[in-house]
Amino acid sequence: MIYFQLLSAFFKIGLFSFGGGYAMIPLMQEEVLRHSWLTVQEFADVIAVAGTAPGPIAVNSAAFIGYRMSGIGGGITATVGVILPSLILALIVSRFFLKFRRHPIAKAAFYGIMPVTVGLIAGAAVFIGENSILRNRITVYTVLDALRSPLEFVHAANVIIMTAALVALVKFKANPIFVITVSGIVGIGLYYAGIVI
Amino acid sequence: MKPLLEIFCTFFKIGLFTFGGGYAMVPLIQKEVVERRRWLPEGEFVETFAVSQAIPGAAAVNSAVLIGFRLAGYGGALTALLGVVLPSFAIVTLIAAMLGGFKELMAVKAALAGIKAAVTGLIIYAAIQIGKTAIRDKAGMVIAAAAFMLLTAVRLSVVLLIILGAVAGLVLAFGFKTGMEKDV
Repeated sequence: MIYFQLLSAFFKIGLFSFGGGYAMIPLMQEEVLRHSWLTVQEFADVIAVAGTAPGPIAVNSAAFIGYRMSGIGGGITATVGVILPSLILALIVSRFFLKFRRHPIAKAAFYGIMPVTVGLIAGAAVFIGENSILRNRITVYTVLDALRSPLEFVHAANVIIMTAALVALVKFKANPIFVITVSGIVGIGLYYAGIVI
Repeated sequence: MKPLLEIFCTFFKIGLFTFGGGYAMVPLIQKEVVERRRWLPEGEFVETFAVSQAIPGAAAVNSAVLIGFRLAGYGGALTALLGVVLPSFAIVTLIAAMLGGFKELMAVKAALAGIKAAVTGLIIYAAIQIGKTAIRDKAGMVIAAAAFMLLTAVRLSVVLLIILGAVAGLVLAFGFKTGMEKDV
């Protein structure tokens, strides 16, 4: 019974979340509270863990909540539930996409969509940077403080790590996996050197 | 047809090193799938990414299925999906079994702070790389800048932005006859 509930709840979450993992958090919270699987505080902890572990946040939180509910079987059931809608829809789209991508209407649409993806990715850099590079979000209220004392507004260590990562990638064509590994080691080094991040 | 084991290993690696959500995966897929293995040309990769954003669910899962299918049909889609999901599933199950002791580990927190800063650089790099292929003319530049502003300042939904992009593309191509000469 719990397996069926996990499967259907997470199938619904997977089906109705457009725009990536973080977009599904409100719906997930609704489902989890409705079934009384977790308290609000426990759910917040799950999201914190799911956000720090590698991989898609949707899969991480499904695996975590499922495991808490009924062990490995629950984790597998919830994970399958959350990825099943993606799998079905992506397969359907794949079949049509390969057939129609050379059609003039599809080509015209992608001529407009492709630049949008660049804007989306640049936007994602801003959202992630807000929580890492900046100490405070830039809003109409804080923008003057930011201009007055920009050095107090940014995390100097994180700016250096970000710039070094960018230079390594652009100039030296470094492998992203290498960059991630080194930055993790630098983070630990800074912590033990007493530079609070 | 690409060997399934190679597809599995590639996506396992991508899943293992993706910190900070689906967008952080873009430079990894690009390096592994486009540059190193040359399974997909850059233009097709960008198209796939756009499609992965337009269907519901995690972008990582959608991209894996779309690219896997493109490489080796249904078997490829399932293999890539399994590869990208398995590392996070295993790690999260381990954390859940350890009952939250993970969160208090300061060294882990410090490593993640460093990774988060680098991921910001990684995503900027992805925007530059993809921009080289995706933006072909002045109209493209305007659309990219408009999408960026509408996303960050107005917080418009991603799906709506993709629909608006498609409409802009159709209007430009059929109304003004621009941008359709070159093939991606």
